[in-house]
Formats: sequence, structure tokens, C-alpha cells
Amino acid sequence: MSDTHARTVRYVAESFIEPSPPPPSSKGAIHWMRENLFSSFTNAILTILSIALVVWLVPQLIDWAIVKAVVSPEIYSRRYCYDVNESAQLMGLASSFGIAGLAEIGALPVSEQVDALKPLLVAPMGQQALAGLELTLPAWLTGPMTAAAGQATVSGIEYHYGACWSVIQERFNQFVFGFYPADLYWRPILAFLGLGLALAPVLFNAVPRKLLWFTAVYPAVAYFLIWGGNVWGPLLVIATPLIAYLVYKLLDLFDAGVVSVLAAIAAAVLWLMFIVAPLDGAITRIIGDARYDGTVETMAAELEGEGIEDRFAAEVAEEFPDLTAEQRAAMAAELAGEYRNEQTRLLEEFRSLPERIAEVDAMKAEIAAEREALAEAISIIETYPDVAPADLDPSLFSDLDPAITENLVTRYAALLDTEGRIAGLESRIDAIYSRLGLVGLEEVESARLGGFLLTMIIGVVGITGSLPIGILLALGRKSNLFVVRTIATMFIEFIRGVPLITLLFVASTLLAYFLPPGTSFDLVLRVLIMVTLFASAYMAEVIRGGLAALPQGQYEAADAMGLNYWQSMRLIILPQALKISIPGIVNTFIGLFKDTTLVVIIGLSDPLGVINQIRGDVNWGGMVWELFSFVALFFFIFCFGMSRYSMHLERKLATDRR
Amino acid sequence: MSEIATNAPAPAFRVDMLWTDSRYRSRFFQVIAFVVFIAAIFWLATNAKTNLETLGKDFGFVFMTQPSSYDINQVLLVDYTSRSSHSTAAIVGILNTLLIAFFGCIAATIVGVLAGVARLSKNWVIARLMTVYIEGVRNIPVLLQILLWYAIFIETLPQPRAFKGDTATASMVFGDAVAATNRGFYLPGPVFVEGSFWLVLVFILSVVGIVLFGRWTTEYQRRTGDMVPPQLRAAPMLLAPVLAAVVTFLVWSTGLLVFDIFGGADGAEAARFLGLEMTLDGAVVHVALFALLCFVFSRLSETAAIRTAILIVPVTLAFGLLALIYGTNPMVWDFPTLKGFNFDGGIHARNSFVALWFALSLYTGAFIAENVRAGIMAVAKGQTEAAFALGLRPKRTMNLIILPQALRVIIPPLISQYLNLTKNSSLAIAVGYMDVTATLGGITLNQTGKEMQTILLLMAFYLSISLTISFVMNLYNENVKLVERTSSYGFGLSFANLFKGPWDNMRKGDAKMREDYGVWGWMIPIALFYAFWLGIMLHYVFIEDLSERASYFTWTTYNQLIALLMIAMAGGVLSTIMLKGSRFIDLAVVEFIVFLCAVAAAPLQRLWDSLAWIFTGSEFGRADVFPFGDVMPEIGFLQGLSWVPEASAVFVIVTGAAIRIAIIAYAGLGTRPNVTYLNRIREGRA
Repeated sequence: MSDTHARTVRYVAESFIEPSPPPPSSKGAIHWMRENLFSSFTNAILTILSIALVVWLVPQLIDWAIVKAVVSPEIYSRRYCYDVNESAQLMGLASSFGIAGLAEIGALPVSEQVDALKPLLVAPMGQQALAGLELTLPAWLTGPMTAAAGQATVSGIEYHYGACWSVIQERFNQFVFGFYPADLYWRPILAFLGLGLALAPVLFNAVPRKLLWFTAVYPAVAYFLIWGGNVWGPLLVIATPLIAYLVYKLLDLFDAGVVSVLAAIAAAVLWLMFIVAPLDGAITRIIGDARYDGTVETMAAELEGEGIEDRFAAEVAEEFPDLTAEQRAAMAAELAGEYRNEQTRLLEEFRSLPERIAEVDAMKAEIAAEREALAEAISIIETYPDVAPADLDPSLFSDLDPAITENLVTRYAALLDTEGRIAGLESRIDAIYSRLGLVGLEEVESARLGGFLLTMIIGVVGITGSLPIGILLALGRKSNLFVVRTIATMFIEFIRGVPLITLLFVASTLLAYFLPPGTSFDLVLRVLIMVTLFASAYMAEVIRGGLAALPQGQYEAADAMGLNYWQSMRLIILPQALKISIPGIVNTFIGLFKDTTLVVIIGLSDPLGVINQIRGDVNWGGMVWELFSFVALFFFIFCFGMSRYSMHLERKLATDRR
Repeated sequence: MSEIATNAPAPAFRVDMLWTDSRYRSRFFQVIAFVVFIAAIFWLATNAKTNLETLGKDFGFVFMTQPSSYDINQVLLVDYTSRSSHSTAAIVGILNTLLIAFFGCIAATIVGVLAGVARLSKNWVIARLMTVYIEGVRNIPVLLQILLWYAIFIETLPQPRAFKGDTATASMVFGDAVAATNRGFYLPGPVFVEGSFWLVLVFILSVVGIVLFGRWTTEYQRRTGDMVPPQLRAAPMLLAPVLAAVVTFLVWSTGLLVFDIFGGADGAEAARFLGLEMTLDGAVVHVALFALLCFVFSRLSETAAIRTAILIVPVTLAFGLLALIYGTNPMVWDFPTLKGFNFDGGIHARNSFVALWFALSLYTGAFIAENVRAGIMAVAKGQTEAAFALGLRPKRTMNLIILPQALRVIIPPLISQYLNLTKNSSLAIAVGYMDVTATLGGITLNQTGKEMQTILLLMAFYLSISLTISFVMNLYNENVKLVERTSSYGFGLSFANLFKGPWDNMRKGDAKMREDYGVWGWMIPIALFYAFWLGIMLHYVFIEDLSERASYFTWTTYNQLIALLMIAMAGGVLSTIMLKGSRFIDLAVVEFIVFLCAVAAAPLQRLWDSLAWIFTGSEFGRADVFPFGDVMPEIGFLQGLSWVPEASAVFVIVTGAAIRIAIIAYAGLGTRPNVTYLNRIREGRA
């Protein structure tokens, strides 16, 4: 080219040469395929193998999941799915042989169709086999065939089964809610919708900022909706920041500086630890007492009348219109009987309440007197907690009144015994009051939570709880204060060093040991605590990565501006560090969300637990793919969605470069 | 006239200066934090004490020595029956955990590297397929995958019974060598018979030879600039037929040839394994194999060809010779055969193991694939172009330019993936694989009701593995990281300040230091040192006979003192010499302090005993208790007032172990890889 150019122009080119189109071999689909699919011998082989794999797999998958799948069945069982698939296959075979009367067979119940089709197929399929066609014949044909065809070899027909989605249809509610009472499904649904509302102002800038108030109180609202119970507990917990703020303001009047902050934190902790529960109990008692007479009267009136039977009869008639009148009557009677028994028992409990209270009071007075009488002896006994009172050296008690020392051991044992009984009675009374004085929603035990509801609860709590704790831990680990840094590092490395399952074991068996004696709260809450701690250690490491990635100049500039530590963190460092850490944070979220499945090992019925229950069911025994792929799809959608959202967020926030 | 105060008197101390004056503030807050921390620990410990007492439980470890009375379906290396102790059961569990972790890491690495490279491949179909695999597997819980694999094996594989008789509905694969049943996989297992010792020895020597050859080539290249001497250039072409012949011989020898020539027995067994009969077909196959191998070997590089030759030629020769000498093959295969309604012989890999292995490998492999991809993408394109410009061939470019740089990015996350795999292997409990979580944290916990002790031991096990791995990872990082202006070394607080020495002016990146700053050389003595101490302590804890336990250390005070001192000093000095790094001086110093505490604990205890005797007249303590004396059976500190004397030895052991772990962590927790940067690479935006 340069030669021709040199001949036309003497010194310098005066015009550009028009770009020529690329040669046909380096453009278009052929070129792309040559570059990307068949660039070398190995590549070509790999391409062909992979395409073969896809071509082999995908149609089968579609056939299984969609074409042959069984949905909206008459009977919910695996056998039914098999019957549908088998009869469809035999029907196809029969119609290809031109057998008449298939419409009548089609009208039969599915479970009978296969048996009806089999005799019809013997003759034509035997002929085909004799004609030398390569047909695999069903095993049930072996007998007739050997008679008809003599030397023909026969093997079993291969039925092709489709997905039995009816299992998901039947158990859908269980997958979503676990054993949550069916008439209360609106509560978790409402909580879920509320979650959307609470997240909206966090995720999107266009939403009014006022909604953040709802976000702040949402955890208590969600707890109240899902678990139910008295409204006082959540309300008092919501009030905690208010208490802390009041204490802060009060001390701030005296210009106490940082002490007021510490005092506010301490006040919040004390409030949560020592005041919320007793206050809740006290309010419940007051309301319970006020309602006592009315409730007992209403219940007694209801039990005496016939209203219960009528109500259940009406309900059954509405719910099960298909049943005969007798069946309906029997069902209504059974339900009403159950209800009646339950209410009677409850009423008896309520009626026994004053009696129990009186009993407790009497016992209390009695042991108070006894304790006073034995005060000196008890103080000696309690000096030696390792030694049983009977084994103590009698000389220790020589100064005491002989009237006391004579039966000391039995009296002391009786004293302890009475105290134990009082504690038992009091907890019983509390339980009665919590029913009687209920202002709120019907209580739902944690054991009834399950399915995706449980996954969502653990995931959301873990995610929202771990972020602030993780930030604090990360700051602690980067801190200049040796003690703070050491504590934070030890905590993080400990949590990261052990598998989650051991922490869940701690939640299920060990956590109760570390709480004050007598405290017991349920397994799901304990799991939530441990999962949050677990996630926050990982979160701390991610955020620490973000902090480390910030140039030192940012810290120095913040100092130079005269900002104090918290100001510089809040205004300069954390916004940048968190932005850098977004991919890591979301990865931690995804990991946490996947890890929620581990709770099945300590006996909670998350979706995997539901799968186990279904596989133990006689009707659905041996099901694998439908169940696992359904749950896997759920997790995939959530996790994949989260990772895509994080990439979107990163692009949105990438203000500095690219 | 005003006088300028050059030395203003320090203002009088006021209380609010504690949090307003920067001189006191940091200390003030640290004290508060420390007090709160200690109070919290105290609160938890008190609660635990009260609750354990209420339930009538103690905090001893004696139960670990009692018979476990349960069976474990997979026992490696250790003799175990249901009469063995709980501690033996725990060790069986630990070995099972390590087994699954070992195989899982290997498989995950292979899967991950292949998938990671394939996802970067220019081949569009392969890259898309790998994306589907990686995104699919990564976003589904691993527990679900484990259960799925297990369910598939249980539900879809035939029963062993189905293999039986003429009308068998199932058949073994790979020439009747492998049976996949719903009770597990039955594989042929190697049996080492007479003469196999020499075979193994030759194999080990070959491996040593390869290492030596590698060193020699490196040295040779450094000296001359050539990879190998010119006369070795033709090695691949010359060695190819030899190697091909040897491999064909190996194939034959495990099959038929050796048996026929040297009169070995049962050639049919081996032939079954290969699915070959010594017929014309077999001969054709072997000729084709020979030709293919010739082609493959001739394409190797010089060094690779020589390495392969060192690996396989001596072993094959030894194999033939030994067969000649002893009259049988030194190594034969034991094939699974159907006996009654089950298979016998060979190796039985249970479905729980295989399901766990598949699921963990595929899951972790997907993550490793992403790390590999990130690592390769982190190498700037200019590097490849520069290498091409220098005239390096693509393979050399990969080996010499890309990989060394990519590995710097790949290895740290790779190791933490290994760690994740090990931790995830605790999910074995869901499919009934008897790893340490299932034995110690499962059956032992339920049988003995000692939640506190078993879970603590379980956590300690995983923690020690994690910290050891992160220690290794940080050593690697220190060794390979780029030397930058800000690369600081060690922590601010260091005992090294007490020991001024030549290491002071040696910093990372000093050319002089690089030479002897190899990681692996000094890892070994440190590992041995810790293993020794850990072994002694574990052995002590698990001694069954109490009187034997009491006499475990029968030395006098001074003997112990001197021995401990010597070991501590030796360890400290050893590590100091080898490391020349301040952190390991810290290690030595803290070790020393620990042992001082151990030694001091005894007089303290005596003192306390005497006081107790003087004030109460009762003899609470034992006179001859020493740090490692008979204290574990009843740990007193949960039983009331007398906790100090009895707890002293426990305190020393526990704090000793804790401090050791803390030191490992302390030494290990240096700079971490920049997570954010890696993530950004992962998302393809760096």
C-alpha cells in the first residue's frame, strides 16, 4: 500500500485513504464462530461436547419439569402422579395402534386407567415384536408375550415420569409458613409487607424521609405481629431509645459531657434488662384482675349455651360443602367437643386463680416466719455450700437454741422445697394472667414458625442486626485503644474460627447456662442472637477491609478539620468505607441467607426441615427433585437477586472513578 | 510589665479531665472498657456456675475417659469399639473430619481451577456453561446440596441385592470394578503384599529425585541462563518412546503381562479391572495407547519429560523386578465382590461420605473458580504483551509471567476457601457422616449431657485449625506481598524492644533478608514445638487411669522447673534465630511467662492450702498438687469458695493453651488481603 501511495503523492499525503471494509473472513457470524467456538482443535471438541450436553439435557429437563409435570391433581400422592404419567404413555401407545374405546377408558379414574389399558395393548404389541420391530415391552407383558411369540425377548417398558408438582401444591403453605396457624397467616404477610415499607426509605432516595420513623419501630412491630402476645413488651422496648434520650438530656443539663452518653447507654441496658419484663407483668396483672369477673362469666355462659355447636356446624357447612350431612354433623360435633374441652379446662384454670394466689401468699408468709426463725442456722449452712447440711460438724451450731438445731436438717430441706413450690405456682399464675390480661394478638409459639417464614426472619434479623454490630466491631478493631482493639479482635477471630453449627449448638444447648438462673426464652430467639453475632464478625472484617482501603489522607484531613472521632467517622470515613465495602457486605448477606438453612440441624423446621417431613410422609416418600429444586429456586432467586442489586448499587454510588 | 510564663504550672487535676483531657481520655475509656468486659465475663461465669450447680453438673473432663458405648461406621487408623473412651471417639471424628477436608480440598481445587480458567476461556459456550455452574451453585445453600446428593444416592442407586443372580437389574461399572449402590460405593482397593516396601521406597526416592532435579535446574539456569544443558534439549523426543513403553508396560503389568511372563496369579482379576482381554483387541488397544503416549510425551518440555521419566521409570522397573523376585505382584487390587446380599472387599465409601465430598467440592469449587478468575484478571494485560514482545511462547508466558503474579492474588482466598470447606464439613451431621461434630458434638454430648465441655472442645478443635490455617496464610502473604512504602512490620507493642539485635534494622524488602526468609523452613520446628506441647497436654487430659494420671509428672519441682525453662528457652531461641522477626520474640517471651505462671501456681496453691488449714482447720487442698498434678477430675472453681487452689493447675493449662492460641493468632493476624479490591475484581471492574 505504501508503494502505491508513494507513487501518487510526492512528499506528504494530501488526503486520507478511505478505510476498506474488512475481508469477508474476519466479520459476520462465521468469523465470530471461528474465533469463539472453533479457534483450535481442542476448543472445537469442547464446543461440540458442551452443545451436545445442552441439547441432551435441556429437552429432558423441559419434558420433566413442564411437559410431563403433574399439576392440580385429584388426589395428593406420588402414586397418583405415577398413574397420570403411566396412563398417558400407554394411551399414546394405544392410540398409535388405533385401538378403539380409549375415550371410555379416559373417563375412568386415573388409578384404574393403567390396568384397563394393559390388556388392550398385549395383542398389537406382540404383533409388532413378531414383525421384528425394536420395541421394548413392559414387564407385565412378559407372560402373554412368551405365550404368543415364543422366542421373543422382552424387557420392561421404560416409563417416563414428569415432575410431581402436586407435592408443592399440597404443601405450599407449609413451605411458606411452617406450622403457623392457618387463620393467622395475615400476620406474617402483614409483617412482610411492612418489611417492604420499612426498607423502602433505606433503599430508595425518592421515598419520603418521614418513613424512617416506621423503619425504626418496625422490628418491634414485626415481632408483635409474628409472635403475638401482649402489646406492652414491644411498646416498652420501643420506648428504650426514649428513656436513653431522656437520661442523656437530664444529665446534659449538668454539662456532664461524655458521662451522660455512657449513662444513657447504661440506662437503656438497665431498662431492657430489669424493668421491661416486670413492668410488662405488672400491667398484665392489673388488666387481668380488671377483666377477671367479666371473662369468667362470659366463658361460663358460652359453655352453658348451645351456641358453640351451632357455630361449628355453620363453619363446617361453609368449609366442606362436598361432604354428606352426616359427615358434616360428625365433624362439627368433634370440633365443638374439642373446643368445649379446651374452654372448660381454661375456665377451671381461671376459676382456680384466686385460690392459687391465696395459697402462694400463705406459703410466703409461712416461710418468711420460718426463715426468720432459722436465720442464724441458715447463715452457717450457707457458709459451706459444698457440704450437705446433714454432714456439717454439729459443733458449728453449738451456740444456737437446741429447739432449732434438733430438726434443723429436715426443716431446712422443707424450707427449700416450699420455695421451689412457690416458684412453680407463681409461674403458673403468670401463665394464667398472660391469657387473662391479653391485650394484643393471640400468642404463637416459636415451634410453629417454619418454612420460608423462618428463613426470612433469621435472614432479615441477622442482616439488619449484623451491620451496626459489625461496624462497631470493625471500628473497635481499628481503634487505637489497646483494650478495645484486643477485645474486638478476639471476638472476631473466635467467631470466624468456628463453624456456624457449633454456635447453633451453643444456642440450642448452652446459651441458657450463661443467662441468669430461671431465664428462659425460646429457641428461635436464641438462634437469632447467635446468627447475628456470627454474621457481625464477618461483617466487621468486610468493613475493616473498606476502612483499610481508604487513603490515610482522609483520616488526617478529618482530624485537620477539627472533627472529633465520632464526627469524623460518621461524616468522612464510614460513608466512604461502607461504599467501598458494598460488594463484601452483600456477599456476607448472601452467605448468611444461605446459612439460615443450618437451623434444621438443631431441629427447627426451615424449608429443609419441611422437605424432611414431606419425605417421611407415606404419600410422598422418596421424592427428591421436586422438593429440592423448589427450595433451591427460592434461594437462588433471593441470593442472585441480592448480588445483582449490589452490582447496581455499586454502579450508582461509583462517583469517584470510571 | 507582664511576665511570660515559660513553664506554666500544670492545671490541677479535675474529675472531668478524665474524659476531656487527651492525656487521660484514652486510658480512662480503656479502663472502663476493661471493667465492663471483665464484669460481663464474670457475670456469664457466675451464671454458668449457678446453673450448672442447680442441674448437679460439674465441669470436669473425666467423662471423656469413660466408655463411649456407641459405634462409629467409619474408623480410620485408630482402634475403636463401642468400649473405647469418648476421647477416642472424638479422635476418630477428628480423623474423619480431616479426611473429608483433605479429599474435599483436592477435588475443589481441581474443579475450581478448571471452572475458573474455563469461564475466562474465549470459547463462548464453555464460558457460558461455567457461568451457569458457578452462579447456580454459589447461590444455593450448601446444606441443601449435601442433602440433595445424599437423597439422590439413597433413592436412585440400586440395592446391592439388585446386582445378584442372572436376572440382575444392576451391574458394576468400569469392568466390574466399581459398584454404586444405595449403601455406598464399592471401589477396588490396593493391597500391598510382599516386596511392596521396596516399591514404596523407590517411589519416595523418585519424588525426592524430582525435587533435587528441580533445584538443580533452577541453579543451572541461574548460573548459565539456559533452562537445561544443550545436550538435554532432545530429551522429550528421546524419552517419549521409553516413557510410552513404560506406561504401556505398567498398564499391562497390572493387567496381564506380568502374570503371564512371571507366573503371577489371578491375572483375570486385573484384566477385569481394565476391561481388557489379552486378545487381538487388547493388542491393538495397547499399540494405539503406545502411539498416543509417544505423541503426548514428545510434546512435553525438556524438564517435564525428565521429571516424568524420574517419576515412572524406576517405579516400573522396581515393579517388574519385584514381581520377578517374589513371584507375585508387589501390589495387587482387591476387588469388591458380592457376598450374600452385600459387597465385600475393596474400599467401601459410604454414601454420606461421597455425598458430602461431591457437594462440598462442587460448592467450594465454584468459589475457588471465582478466585482463580479474579487472580488471572488481576494480572495486567501489558504483562502478557510484554512477555510476547520478549519472544516468550504462550505456555512460558503463562508459567513464568502470569501465574506467579496471579498466585499472589489467588492463594490467600484459596486458603480461606479451604478453611471454609473444613468448617462446612461440620454439616456432615446432617447426613450421618461421623465427623467430629457428629461424634463429640452429637452422640457424646447427648449421652453424657456435658454440653459445656463437649462444645468447648469442639470449638477449640475448629478454632485451632482455623487459626493455624490463617497463620500459614499470613506467613505466605508476608512472603509474597509487594514491598511498599507503607509496609509496616509487626504491632506497635512488642517485646522485641527489650531485645535489641540485628533484626532491628532488617525490614521486609531488604534484599539481604529475602534470601533466608523462606516460610517453610522455619514453619516445621514451630509446628513440632506446638504439636509436642499440645500432645503432652491432650495425653494428660485423656489418661484413663486416675492414679496413672497423678503420676504423669513424677518429677520434683526443680526438675520440672528446669525442664520447662529449657524447653521454653530453646523454643524461644530457636524461633528467634530462625525468624529474626519481632513477633516471634514476643512468642518466646510469652511462653516463658506462661511457664513462670505454671511454676508459680504450685507455691500459691500451697500457700492457699496452709491458709485454709489455719483459718478453717479443714484440709481442703492436697499437699502435693503441682501444675500438672491430679487436678482435672474435680475442677473446684465451680463448686464454691475453695476454687483457687484446685483451679490453679487448670488455670495454667487452660490459659497456657489459650495464650498459645492467642499468640498464633497474634503472629498470624497481620495484613489481610484487600477484600474490597478482590471483590471488585470478581465483579469484573478492576
